[in-house]
Amino acid sequence: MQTQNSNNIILLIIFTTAILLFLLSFIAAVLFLYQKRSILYYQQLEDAKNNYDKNLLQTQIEIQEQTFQNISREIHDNIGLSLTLAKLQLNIIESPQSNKIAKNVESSIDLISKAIHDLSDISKSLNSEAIKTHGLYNTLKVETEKIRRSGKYQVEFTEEGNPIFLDANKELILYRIAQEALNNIIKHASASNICIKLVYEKDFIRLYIEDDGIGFDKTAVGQCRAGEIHSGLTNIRNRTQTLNGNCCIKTQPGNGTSISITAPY
Amino acid sequence: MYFLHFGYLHIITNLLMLVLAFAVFVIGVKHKNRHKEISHLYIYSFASFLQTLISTFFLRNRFFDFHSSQKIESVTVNIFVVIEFICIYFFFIKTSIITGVAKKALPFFMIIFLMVFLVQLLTIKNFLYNEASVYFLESCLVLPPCFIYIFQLFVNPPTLNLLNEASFWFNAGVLIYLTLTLPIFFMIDYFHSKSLAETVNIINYSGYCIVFSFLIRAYLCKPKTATI
Repeated sequence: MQTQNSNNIILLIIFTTAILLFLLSFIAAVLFLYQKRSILYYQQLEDAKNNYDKNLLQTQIEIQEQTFQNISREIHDNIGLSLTLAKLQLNIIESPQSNKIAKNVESSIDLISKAIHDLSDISKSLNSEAIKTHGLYNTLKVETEKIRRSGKYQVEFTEEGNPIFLDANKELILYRIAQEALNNIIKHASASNICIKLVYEKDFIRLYIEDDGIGFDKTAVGQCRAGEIHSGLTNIRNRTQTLNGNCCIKTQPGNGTSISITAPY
Repeated sequence: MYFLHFGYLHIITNLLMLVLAFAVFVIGVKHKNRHKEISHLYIYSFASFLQTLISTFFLRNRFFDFHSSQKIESVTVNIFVVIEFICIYFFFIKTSIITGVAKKALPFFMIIFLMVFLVQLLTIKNFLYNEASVYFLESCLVLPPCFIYIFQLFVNPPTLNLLNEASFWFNAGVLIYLTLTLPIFFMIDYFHSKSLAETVNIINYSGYCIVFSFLIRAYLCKPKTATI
């Protein structure tokens, strides 16, 4: 009787311990599976957010390009045409009797010619058709020529590696990045030498823009109130992001600035 | 077979349970406003503490005969089970994890339990001599919401940090305790010897130790910060 009682107690203890171990394992498994699911969920959420940001950025860039296209067309079709007509009308004025008036007319014709030329340059740089027709290298060459023509800068533009034809949109984004960087140099850098390099590596393209200007303090730029450099750099970074690329900016006050953009083909 | 003389183990688990119940009461009162869903559970631990104290006092006191002690224990246990059931059900009603039809059904099951308890009260014989039936019914009605809670965790988006989720710890404690003791209380009528009854008590007290340990962990979870 006593032995049977002891056996029952042992059985009860074994039974209870087994259930307890099973329940503890069950709770541990619930915790583990839930945490695993949670990590996966947040990863998916992050991916979705990144995708959304990228799409938003892409749309912004597309809208910007469309606006550039419209402005370019307006300059070419309306303002350019009006100025050409004005120049034509000034040209057909019969020789004025007064010397002073003749000089004024000649000066006006020169001014209008310069305005037509400048507007044509702006129109071309805004027009994305040029890059689709002539490619990144040629368009950048034209852009550097324009800067060199101003006489204020020594511009060096080189190409390394075997040129690869990129997707037109990628070339356009790289071109806009270069434009933004050159615009920053002209506006803020007080540089005298500009070096632009286009390097075709095995798996990616590298765009390298360097100047010997005054440089800037990166941390201070982050704090400046809606500064143009800040917005320019943000534009460069955002555009690089749409290329799935990498943007590296090296600068120090007084030591110039170098921007290196790498993007996969 | 000395280890099978459970007298000491019985007293140790009983004392440990009393200490843990009191600790939960103190911590629960202190952190009452930390977690909305378990804010009322210090009442549960205090009820458990009182019930165990009363039962222990009457059962171990030689001035009362065996039958009187049994009656008093049965009455206190029955009252405690009702308090326990209401506290646990309020927890399920308050928690935001259980939603939909399950949430709507909770008050309905609560009423069923209270009605059965009322019937027990009316048939006084059951109320005075039989606590296992109420206990068995309680387990049957509390366990499904425990499992629904776990199920809902995996249905809803996994945005919680379970290790810091107060409701999860309490639910886990109740789930372990009831699953552990339900089969034992189901077979309790077959346990006639004193040593078997003591073993059941030890298991019961150990189960409560788990519930209260988990409840302490639940109360000590960091409060959630509001996110926009």
